Amino acid sequence: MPVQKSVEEIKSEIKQLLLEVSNLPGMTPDRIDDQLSLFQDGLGLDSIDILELVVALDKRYAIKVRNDEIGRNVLRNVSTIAQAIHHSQLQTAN
Amino acid sequence: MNKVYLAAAFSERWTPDSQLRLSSPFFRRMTALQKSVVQAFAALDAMAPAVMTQAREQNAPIFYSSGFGELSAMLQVTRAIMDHDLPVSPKEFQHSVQNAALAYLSMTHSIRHPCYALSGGFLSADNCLQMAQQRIAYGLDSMGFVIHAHEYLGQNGADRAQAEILLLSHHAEQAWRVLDFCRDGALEDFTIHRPEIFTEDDSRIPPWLLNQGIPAAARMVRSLSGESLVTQWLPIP
Amino acid sequence: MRSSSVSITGISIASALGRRWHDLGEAILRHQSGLHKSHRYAEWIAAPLGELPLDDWQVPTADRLKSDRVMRRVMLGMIDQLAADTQVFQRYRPRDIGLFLGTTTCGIDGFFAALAQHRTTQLPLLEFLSPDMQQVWITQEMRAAFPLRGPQFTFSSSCAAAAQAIGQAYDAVRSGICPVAIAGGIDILNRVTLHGFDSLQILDHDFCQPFAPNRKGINLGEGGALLLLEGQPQGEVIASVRGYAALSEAHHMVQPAPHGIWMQRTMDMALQNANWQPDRVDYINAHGTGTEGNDAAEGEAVSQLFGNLDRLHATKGLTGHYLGAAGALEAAITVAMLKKKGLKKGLSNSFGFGGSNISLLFATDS
Repeated sequence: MPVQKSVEEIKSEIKQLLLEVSNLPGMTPDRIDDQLSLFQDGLGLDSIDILELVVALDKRYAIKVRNDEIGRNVLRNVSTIAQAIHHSQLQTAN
Repeated sequence: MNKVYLAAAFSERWTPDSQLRLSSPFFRRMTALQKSVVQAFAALDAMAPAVMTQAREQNAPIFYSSGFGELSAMLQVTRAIMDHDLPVSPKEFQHSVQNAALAYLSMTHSIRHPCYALSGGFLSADNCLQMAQQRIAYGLDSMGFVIHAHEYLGQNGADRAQAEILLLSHHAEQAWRVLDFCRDGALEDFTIHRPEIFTEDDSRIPPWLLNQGIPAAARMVRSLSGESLVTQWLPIP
Repeated sequence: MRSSSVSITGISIASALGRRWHDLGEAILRHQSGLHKSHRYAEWIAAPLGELPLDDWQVPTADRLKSDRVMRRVMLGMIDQLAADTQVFQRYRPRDIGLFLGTTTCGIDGFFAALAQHRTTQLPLLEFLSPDMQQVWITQEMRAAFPLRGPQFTFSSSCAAAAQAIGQAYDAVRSGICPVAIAGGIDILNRVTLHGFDSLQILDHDFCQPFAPNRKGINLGEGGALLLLEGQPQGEVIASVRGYAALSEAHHMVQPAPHGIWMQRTMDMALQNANWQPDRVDYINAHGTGTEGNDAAEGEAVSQLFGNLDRLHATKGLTGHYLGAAGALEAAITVAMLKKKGLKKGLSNSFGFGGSNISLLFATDS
């Protein structure tokens, strides 16, 4: 059985992933707060970045996020994404 | 029939070390090909502000061709499908459309001119030039842009690109060259004729990649046409 | 003075709704659907597709997942039909016949083949670049198969491609660049398109419902249409092209500007070019893809310009979205509906990725 990653570990991975998909100039993982909004009022990602992130999450964590209300709640910030992944990994493990 | 003049031209090479001519929030996502097109247009703005203002006022159409389109984006998408690495990247997929560079040109420069992406085989640039030239010659437009761009594929995808931009006009003042098409025979072989392949950096490369500098804007078309001279640039008499 | 009207003297179609243009109006009026959940790509995509009946087009079973081969077969069939209906090759010299085609998917087989060769041989991909991995391939194939030696242009501006081809052919014929032109487009379903749209999360996995309040996205389709455009028609005239307008939104890669302001501007410019008042337009064919973004913006644009949505019709819920060829099929549908309903003036919209907008105008009166 694979070792469960902690929420903190996942958060750190997601910050790296965010930079990879968005290529935001001058941005570093330590400048992304867990609660910072990913959208225009925060990190400034747009719909294409978000779709790219969704694909990256699917490939890395096998988690499917749809472009609907549930999906948008998951994609609010690093913390909400990490919790959703952690939750889905626990469910898979059980 | 109207004469068609070359009013301005520029050749832009984009590499990771290139200096920015304009800043844009879109740059973080754009490919080298798209950046070369956007930067070439900015250069033309700086180089020939008067005719560019004229072109904007007249909403001059933009005819764009490329050497095999958005090669690296298409490559990413086809690779993902061949390797069952799904889902494909949404960013690469939307970049794989042939008019992606035109879309960024329109967005970065806030220009709403009609934009046409044309596919013309080995003579894409000639085909594109023919479209713009004929429309001016037959009085449909008074000015028109021709843009041809190509990516260089390296080991790590395409991080270099080259764009040629020409502004054609029916106005004789400020013109550098007259554009003339030799119709006889050449038109029939327009899309099929395969030009000689040159070598650079151990890669065999179609000759339109080798154009450099402003004179190349004229040479571009001449070198492309190989033995049958499709396009001629004549000095102003 | 240059004419602002170019005659349509022949129409040829390839659609799940049928092979004959004459039957198209009736099929649309009956709400006949060409969309099905069982199709040749079901292994990869669980969504309805507007698939061509490939038996009818005599596409060999082994070729059916090779989109370029399907495209070539269907395009040959469409030109054969157009030539039989109009005798264009008997009436005009080869160099007088222009060919203006719009396609986005042509060359995908070639791309896969080049990539496979590159991997097998380890030689640079540049070694394998050839026109069969470009949109122009279909144009070259038709040039080789038919006496077509006039101006030839292949448009690949995403979902506006075929409408751009028709607009440019209209200009070429009315200005005298060529006296006659075959204009339209074709796109064929393939895995790049299907997986790409799936990634963008804009496919409706059930039957799509353009302009419905609870719409969920697009159904993709395949096929196309060709128009024969003549400056000096010698036979029966079906209708005429009266003008067009094209612009770029300068807004976003895949989303229209808020309130459809540039869609409205495109339609408005087209009407001005033809000197038509909005209230004289009887039939509006919507781009109407079924996505939240397009339909909201287009609905607002049409309401603003025409006062209401009464004359707006969306047909992608019956055919699926033909992508680069949508503007060609919907030109054929617009003309078919004008004829069927005894109407005079129609407008057809195509709004592509990258904010590539175009509106075409058609009329049955002189």
